[in-house]
Amino acid sequence: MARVFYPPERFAPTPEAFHLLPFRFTRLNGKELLVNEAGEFLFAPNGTVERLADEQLETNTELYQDLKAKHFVYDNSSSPLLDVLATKVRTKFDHICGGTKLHIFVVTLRCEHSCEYCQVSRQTATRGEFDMSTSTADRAIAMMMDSPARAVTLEIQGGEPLLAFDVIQYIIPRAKKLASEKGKELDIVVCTNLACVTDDILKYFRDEGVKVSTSLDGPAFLHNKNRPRPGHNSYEKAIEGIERSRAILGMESVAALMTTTAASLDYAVEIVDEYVRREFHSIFLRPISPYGFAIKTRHRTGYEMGRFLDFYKKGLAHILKVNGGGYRIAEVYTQILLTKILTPHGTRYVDMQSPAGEAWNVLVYNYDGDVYASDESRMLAEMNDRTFRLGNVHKDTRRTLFTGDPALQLFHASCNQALTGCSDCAYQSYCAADPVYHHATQGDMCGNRPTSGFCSRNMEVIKQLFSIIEENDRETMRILWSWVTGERAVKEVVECA
Amino acid sequence: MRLTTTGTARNFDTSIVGILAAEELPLDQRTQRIRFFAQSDTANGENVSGYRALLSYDELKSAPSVPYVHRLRESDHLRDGDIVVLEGNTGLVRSLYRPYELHHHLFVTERCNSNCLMCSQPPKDRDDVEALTERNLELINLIAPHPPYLTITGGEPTLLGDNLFKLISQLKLSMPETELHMLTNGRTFAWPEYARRFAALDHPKISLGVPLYSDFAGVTGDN
Amino acid sequence: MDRPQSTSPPVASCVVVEINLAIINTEALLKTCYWFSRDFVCEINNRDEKLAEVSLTPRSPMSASDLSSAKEAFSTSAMDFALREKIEAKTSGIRDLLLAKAFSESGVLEDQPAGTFGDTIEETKPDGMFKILNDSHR
Repeated sequence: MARVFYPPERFAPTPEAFHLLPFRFTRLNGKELLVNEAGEFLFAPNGTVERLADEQLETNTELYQDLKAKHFVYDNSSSPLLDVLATKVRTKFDHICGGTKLHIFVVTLRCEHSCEYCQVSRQTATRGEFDMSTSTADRAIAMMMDSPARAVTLEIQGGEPLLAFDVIQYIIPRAKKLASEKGKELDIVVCTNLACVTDDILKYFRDEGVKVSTSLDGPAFLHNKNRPRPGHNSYEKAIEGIERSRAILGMESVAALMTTTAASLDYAVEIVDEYVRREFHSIFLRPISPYGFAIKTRHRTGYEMGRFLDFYKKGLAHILKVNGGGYRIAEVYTQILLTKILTPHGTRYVDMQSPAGEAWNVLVYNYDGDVYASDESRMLAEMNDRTFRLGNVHKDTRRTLFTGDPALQLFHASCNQALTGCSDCAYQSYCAADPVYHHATQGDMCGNRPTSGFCSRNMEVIKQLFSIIEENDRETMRILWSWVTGERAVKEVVECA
Repeated sequence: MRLTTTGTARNFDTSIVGILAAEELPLDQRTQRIRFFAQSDTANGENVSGYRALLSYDELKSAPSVPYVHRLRESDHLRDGDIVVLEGNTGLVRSLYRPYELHHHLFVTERCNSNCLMCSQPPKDRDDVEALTERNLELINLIAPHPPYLTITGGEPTLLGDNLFKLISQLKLSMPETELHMLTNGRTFAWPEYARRFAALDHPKISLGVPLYSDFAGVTGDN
Repeated sequence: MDRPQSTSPPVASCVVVEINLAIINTEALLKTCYWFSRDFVCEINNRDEKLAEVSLTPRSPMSASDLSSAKEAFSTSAMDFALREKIEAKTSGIRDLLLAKAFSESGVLEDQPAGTFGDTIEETKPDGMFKILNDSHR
């Protein structure tokens, strides 16, 4: 049977009418930016949205074809592909699946540092007084493994957790045993300043497959300024700890995070250079935390947010330059947002999710058994605000934790799709909700968008990234894409047979 | 590199799949093998019983009673360890698997439900599925050592229906560490029932390669 | 009103924007005011069913030219919110359907694909795969 090809005209229909699919839009850099329900975007000339709203767009144009390809319109020449679009939406929200995946255990509040921004440390406490007891640990482990998720992460924090190393040694084998019984994957991370780490501790971590996450705020003068300790040598101790940890655990098992303080904001370039000098391949330009000054003073965060945005832009520009010079280092905040903008995926980072990651994806088990919706929720409790204390491991089950009033109130304000100002924002798919932040800074979990530091920060950064995308500089996009796709090279899988 | 050659087939009219043996083997190692005599090799006096078949560049003057193909057009593309199929009806000798190569293909049908302008393997509307599946199941049995990757290709593999599921299940069973790449136009997955059945195979390392040439279904107009 | 002694432009006290309610409905107007409420006190006065006046009073001193820009920005923003209302009205039904599909327990795939199977051998088989796939959808 001979096969014939249809003539080209058969594949070039010009439909007379089209229909709209849901989308949001904004104006950026003299163009219109359209974003569909699954977070796919399109830059279009001014006037496009108005013509779409009136259904008066020529269907035999490349613009129409782009709009159709990206699920902004449909017509009768093909199905509306609702199943495809629904699959994309579902993929974007994959982080909801499985319940809480990150479980933070605060094994002690004791710490030998006295960092200004930290609300929780207890330098003078005696051993045991502010440590997690074995019975609390048992209950917390059981609560963690009760989560439906097939893979959970146990993150051990403090104070300084290594001061309660015996508690860590109690928890790890029990967590592993229960994970194995329930058929769950378990990742374990210890967040420590490494000041009192020993080779024995590191060897234990190596043998148990535990990863280490430590703090590196930048070069010595900055790190030591942020983190006072007896001896004024927090930086030297941190570097020594990093080197030792790498030697015993391997480079891939040691990560560093920075805390951005007001002092950090003038030193973007220096901080990046420090991370490069220490051979790190990722850096997280985290936003300045509002929990230190804003709550106590209640002044507008506008100025601080403006300074942070300058810090971020300078930092990102320098990081791109470093990458261009051949040293690979990814900026994590950018990577999270670009993953949402450029790929079908959402994010696993609990502070950039909608529904907000608080409680849904992270639970914090305090040394005394109290369970909080996030680390910031616990910090608030230290300042006598227990709004986000969900319950206690000795009194609650997972069900009562999630159906109690604190949790339910939190959930009401968790979806940016339903928040004023967010519900028709073009950047909704890339942004997030943070009821704890808004409660702490504005006294209202839903928040007031025009005055929200969370909103202005995210919106400005997202706009900056869209400007970069629109500019489409080849080298910049190559670097950014390499952060999104990760280290694995895309395998050349097939040559079409 | 050459994939096929022809010769004269004797004593069989089916397909025989086997691994080429360029040297004589002990009796207990012959069951999966085809004894291969390249150009200027001779079978003189050798006991040739117990092999699946014989394959010889030169004429086999002794006219054995076992299945064989002789008087090949070419044989320098054939090596010890190659897996080949001999066609009793036509004398065709097709190479299916070469252990020394980096890329391996499992060819499952020439049928296709698309009609792409640029196709380098124009489809044939002839139902070859049953025969090829039988051949491929035997091939899977013989492949050793197990390669890190294997590409399933055609035509359009999903047209095999249950036979494809049979092949993938057999691969999952006998070489679970081998990563499968399947080239497909993906259209059959638009039927929810098919997608479900495919997912139910639950092969841990399978990826589908679907060629896409545009984000828009149609040709661009004159605008 | 006294002129200020300095040479800087006069500080204006408020500006009024006229809104055609036939084009910009109350919803769109309120949303616009929401975003401008950070920098302005917004007061809406309905003149009649067709016309509203919004007075924008800056919360901190603002020059006349800045105030004039703000008036323009307010009008543009109001038009954009009106567009959003229009689009939402046309798409809310299909959006509900889309989200219902996306989050349904039984998964997304329900519809049978349109068009032909494309393989003549399969299409002619009485009990072929094509028939099975078409018959067994839930």
